Amino acid sequence: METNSLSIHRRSAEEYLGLYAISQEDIQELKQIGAQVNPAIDAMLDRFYEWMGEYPEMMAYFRDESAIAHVKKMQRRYWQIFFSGSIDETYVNDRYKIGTIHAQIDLPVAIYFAGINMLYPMLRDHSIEIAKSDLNRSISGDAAIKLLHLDAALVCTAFTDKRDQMIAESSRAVMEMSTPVTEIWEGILLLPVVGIVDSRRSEEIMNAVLNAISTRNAREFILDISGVGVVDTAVANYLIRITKAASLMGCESTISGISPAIAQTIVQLGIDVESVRSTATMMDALSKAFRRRGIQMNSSDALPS
Amino acid sequence: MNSTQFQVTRNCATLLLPRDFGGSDALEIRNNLLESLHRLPKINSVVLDCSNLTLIDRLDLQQLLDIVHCIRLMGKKIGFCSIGASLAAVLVNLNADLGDCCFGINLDDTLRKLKA
Repeated sequence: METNSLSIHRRSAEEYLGLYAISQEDIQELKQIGAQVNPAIDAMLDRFYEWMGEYPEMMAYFRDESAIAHVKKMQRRYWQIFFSGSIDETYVNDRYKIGTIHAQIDLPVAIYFAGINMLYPMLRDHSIEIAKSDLNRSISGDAAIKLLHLDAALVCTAFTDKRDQMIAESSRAVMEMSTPVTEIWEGILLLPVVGIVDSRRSEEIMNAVLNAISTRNAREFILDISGVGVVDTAVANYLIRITKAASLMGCESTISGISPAIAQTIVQLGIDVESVRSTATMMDALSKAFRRRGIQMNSSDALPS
Repeated sequence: MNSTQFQVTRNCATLLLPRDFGGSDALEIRNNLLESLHRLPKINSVVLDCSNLTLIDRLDLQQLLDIVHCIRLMGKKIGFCSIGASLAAVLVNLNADLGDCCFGINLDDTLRKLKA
């Protein structure tokens, strides 16, 4: 990875120091400001919560006073670490963890930035006070800005990572729900496919079906695609390959519910369907599967009352 | 070829394909199998048992297909049994031409299909 490229992935503390141009002078400046600010942190936080009180949507994240007290304590620690000047792996991990917590509680990034935006003038004022009180010191306030930017980047990185992870988990759950390979009778598996099928989903279907055939020793597999509107070349090929692979495992497969549009697509694409068994409806497929398995279905009307 | 990999039951030869099927071993298996088929004309079908074979590459698949073609040329029916999910997916992805073979979930199933 190039150290100069702006990547959303996490880096080492050393890389962050280089990327945000945080020098030893900056760290010294932070410590100087910190010496002034630390005694005033509680007052700063009180003003911060007064400001937050004006926004009910922000206060909604606190269930009661004890929650506010807890978060205040954490924030006090946050600023103490901020002004400690110890920008190491622990620091990076700590800030990243804060972003993860924000994502978990669904705190919008805009609120986080609003909070930072509100606190920054207080930090700046303190910096100016230090500069005024001692003319020999050159306090620019740049160090605090650099570190605030680094903190924001880390929080956002963690936030997006967590969100990506949550989306991936949701997609996986949806994918699992969308391939319900069900053993509807001993040795007979049914998979009704509904919705949009793309290459990725086709691959998931194939894995789910072949594993289900293997674990359940299935002799018949019905792939019902009556709920699928359209398929492209790749997907049509995948569906055919699923049935072929199932056949290789000794499992008779049938595709049911091929719509006129899909039938025409398959023919126009010149896909070899000679070895594929198909039926118009799922009922036909089930009935034929039962017959092949030697299962007889009797209508209840025919049974003696 | 190990004698335990090759058994004859009810005029059907069953060959257990090794996990590392391919290379010179495949050639040896083919030679021994074809020699046996020639020596035992009563054998009318061959079942290739894939219980141990979980994956195959294109080269080894070609060797397997060569065996299948040779068996077919000798006028015997061919069946496969116990093909696992991963092997099935690979065979389909490699477009293995096994069109006129029987496939069973296990040996009994394949034997039943070969007889039918």
